[in-house]
Amino acid sequence: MIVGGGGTPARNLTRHEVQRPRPPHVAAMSTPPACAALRIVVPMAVVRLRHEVGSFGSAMIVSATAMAFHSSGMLAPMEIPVETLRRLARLGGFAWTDAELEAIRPGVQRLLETLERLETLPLDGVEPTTQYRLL
Amino acid sequence: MSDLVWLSMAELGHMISTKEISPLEVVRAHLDRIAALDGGLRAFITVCADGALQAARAAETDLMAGKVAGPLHGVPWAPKDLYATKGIRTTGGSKILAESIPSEDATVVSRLSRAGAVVLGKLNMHEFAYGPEGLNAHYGDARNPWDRNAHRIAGGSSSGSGVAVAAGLAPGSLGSDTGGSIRIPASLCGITGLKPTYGRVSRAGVLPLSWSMDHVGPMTRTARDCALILSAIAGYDPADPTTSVLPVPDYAAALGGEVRGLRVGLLRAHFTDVAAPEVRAAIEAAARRLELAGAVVDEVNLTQVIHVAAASSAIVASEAVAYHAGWMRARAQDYQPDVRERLRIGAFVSGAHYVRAQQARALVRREVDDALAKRDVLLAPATPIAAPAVGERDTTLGDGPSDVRSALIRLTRPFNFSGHPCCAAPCGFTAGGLPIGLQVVGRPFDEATVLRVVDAYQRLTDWHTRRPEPA
Repeated sequence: MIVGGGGTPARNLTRHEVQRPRPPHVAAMSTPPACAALRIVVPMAVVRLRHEVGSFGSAMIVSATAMAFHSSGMLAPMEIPVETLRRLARLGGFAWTDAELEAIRPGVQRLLETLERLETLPLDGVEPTTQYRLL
Repeated sequence: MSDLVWLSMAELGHMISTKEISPLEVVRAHLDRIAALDGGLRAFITVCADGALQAARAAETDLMAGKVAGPLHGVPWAPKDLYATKGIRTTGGSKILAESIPSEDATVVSRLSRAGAVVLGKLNMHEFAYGPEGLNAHYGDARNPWDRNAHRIAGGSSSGSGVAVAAGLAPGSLGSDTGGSIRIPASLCGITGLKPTYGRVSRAGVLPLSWSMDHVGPMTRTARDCALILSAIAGYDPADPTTSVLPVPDYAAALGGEVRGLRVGLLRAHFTDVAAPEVRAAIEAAARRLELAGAVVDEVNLTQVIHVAAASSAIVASEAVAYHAGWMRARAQDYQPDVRERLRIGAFVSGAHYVRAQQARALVRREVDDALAKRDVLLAPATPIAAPAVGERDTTLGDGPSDVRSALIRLTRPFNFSGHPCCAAPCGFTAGGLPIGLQVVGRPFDEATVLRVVDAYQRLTDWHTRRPEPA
């Protein structure tokens, strides 16, 4: 009877050998890339400016909130303009028409809203995991 | 129609090895049934009649010479059409790969061939395995054999595997499971499907959907047949760096025991409690049946699974886009619409989201591990609903309305995310005659206990012996 189609590996790897360098800790990103990477007009967005002493007409942004908060404390649903989608898609190498982008816009919006929930998880100090692999 | 098509792989293998029946006779019986029924069922994308007969003749010659490769010698089977098969086109259910003919077998295909099993053909699936309905715009939708009147989905993505095994066109198959693609069609078609632990079975030569979520496993009519196939295909493979070197037990030899004293956790919140009333009643009855047989059943809640939908979407979408990017640019029009849309949406997931999702995976996995630290297996429905009709988009679950797609993958996807082994098997029928599937979840690399529980349940009940009468 054939049991276990697998042969044995050429040599057994030690845990040390398969240990990959740890990736750098990824900072929590509370602003979706669609907002972080591009200028987006968000109703009720807040931008605070401070004029440099002695400067003339210039200002420094000292804080900015790209997304307005709901009274619930959750992030408000985000309206993503097709223009934003087009620019992001091009960054990924996809030249989709406005009609094609318009067709997926609700889906993208739903997905990004869903992904925002991941920001509420207590993940500080949790290392990203892929799957089981017992040596 | 020949009764041979309803014998299990274990029975066929035994009768072939004792020369009660010939492999040629068995393969012919299945090819006849495929010819008679597959025009309506659409389980196969490619039927390899000549190749199957040739392989059956070779198996018979070996048998007469006293060479028996194992318990699957001369037994027919059919892989989902995303397994590379040397010289046989492997489409992934797509137009893009319609003419793709691999020069090598996938590792698991070659292992089953070495075990003497005979390929009947390649089975239908959701295009590129990216959908739980199992629909296919290019090769036709596989049809659930349990309803002669309405066109109901078979579940996917391994829809052809579910239909072929349920309808007696093949006694066994290999499916793939990224969010439930083995267990969903097993549940909706009333068969037994095993998703092994991630790393237990090689994915080399299998078209990927999502590298870190894809699992390869058997779909058959009994737990024993799943055990036979798993014993043949499991184990380390240098071509798949994620495979484990843990030794492969003889899974079939471990069957036959009792469940007395076994600790079973019935998953309540987010699982059994959200299922449709008939499904919920069937799962509770299955738990009671195991309890009557001596298992110790308690109830358990997994709270972190509420994050699985978001996190696994980020992972699957990102990995699928990474694999498909070239075709998305050059051959977008050749995807079926739902798959094209899903892929395009996935292009907007950021790297930070992806890493966050992999962090969330650690939380969920830890919670499932903790639940299994005190129990041998967990029990839940495989799908919260029975097979919906094609075109049905919305349903209602115990916690409110849901779209059908989300409902189908809701109870299976957590264990792709966590990597734990699970087996789906029939545990009842709705008033309308549609199968209901339970799901048994085990500890990592403890497929033996999972299969032992399902095998014991199948010796206590007869749900897995019921047969559809396809039109």
